[in-house]
Amino acid sequence: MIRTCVLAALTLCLAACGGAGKVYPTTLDHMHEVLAEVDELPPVFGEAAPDVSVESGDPKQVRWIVTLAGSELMRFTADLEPAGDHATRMTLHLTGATSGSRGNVQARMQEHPEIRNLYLVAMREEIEAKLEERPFDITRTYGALTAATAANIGNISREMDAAAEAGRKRDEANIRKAYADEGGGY
Amino acid sequence: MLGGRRLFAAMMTAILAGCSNPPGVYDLPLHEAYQRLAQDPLDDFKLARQCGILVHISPEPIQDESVTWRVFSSGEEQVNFTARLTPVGADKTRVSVEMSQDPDGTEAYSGNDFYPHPAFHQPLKPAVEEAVAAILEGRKFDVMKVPQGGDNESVCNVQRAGLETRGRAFSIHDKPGEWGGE
Repeated sequence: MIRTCVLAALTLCLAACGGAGKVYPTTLDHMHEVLAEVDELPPVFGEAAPDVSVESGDPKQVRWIVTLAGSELMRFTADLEPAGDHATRMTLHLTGATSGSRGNVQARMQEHPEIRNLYLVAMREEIEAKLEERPFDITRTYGALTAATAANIGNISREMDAAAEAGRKRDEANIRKAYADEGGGY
Repeated sequence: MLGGRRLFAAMMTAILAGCSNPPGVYDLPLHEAYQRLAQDPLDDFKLARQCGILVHISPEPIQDESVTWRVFSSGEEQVNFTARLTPVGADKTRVSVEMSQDPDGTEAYSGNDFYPHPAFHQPLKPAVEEAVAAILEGRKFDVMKVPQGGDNESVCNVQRAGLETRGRAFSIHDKPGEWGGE
């Protein structure tokens, strides 16, 4: 418990001291080793449930390729560099695919930086949870989630309305089918 | 001066409020209201509020007086309700809804009645009143205007869910543990 608190405090301190990226109190080799074990996406992709593959051949970089039905959607890249004797700076990038079955994801993320930021915040939390050997903490994404939700509330509402309407029509069709099967008898 | 303005505003509000119809009164002459209701089988109402048995609604009009809708399932009447019309001057009509009674003498589907194979969500009367209002106001039945059911809605919900998801109906003749059409 104390170790976790010290690690968290040190993480915060070093993060505040860093420039680009964020500094973590561990060696580059260990950081790379841990990141290579992150093989799950954070739970912010809704029902899309994309797949992820990890590329860790470069000792100073780990990449997570996010695909849906075999087509790349986006990739997270963690660049690592030493930041002292026992510290490593991680700079996390997110790049969207510019072509493929889902079109130009990169352009859409540029149009909606709040969503791109949510993905980055969530992925960083996924990594930090692994580093600190604790479960993913969704509350740490709430700020980014709130911003993304507020910016897209119109679309979200429309999608929910459309889903509800589709469900209602499906239910109604099944009821009408039951009446048709009955043959109109009283 | 400010107090006078407020009083004036309050008076206008009261005056304008007085222009709207009281509940159950519609801006239609009696005969037109009757004609609108007389042949309407209440399809939207039925789809929105039925449970898991199939129901057939049959209107029985009495010229310029009332329309009674009888609800059948498997050839047996389950419930009926009546819209009774009375003129309010030359251009308005008051419509009151009366529900049939259960064998114990109480209003059918009043809110917490238990039926092994219910025909409709409860309470039914406000839903019928909304169906009547929708017809007379020339709009779609709005299920959001109908109060939600009480504790005894679970049978209705379960049976309707079977109908919605699989298109297979329950029957009033199903025994416990049976599902008509299986």
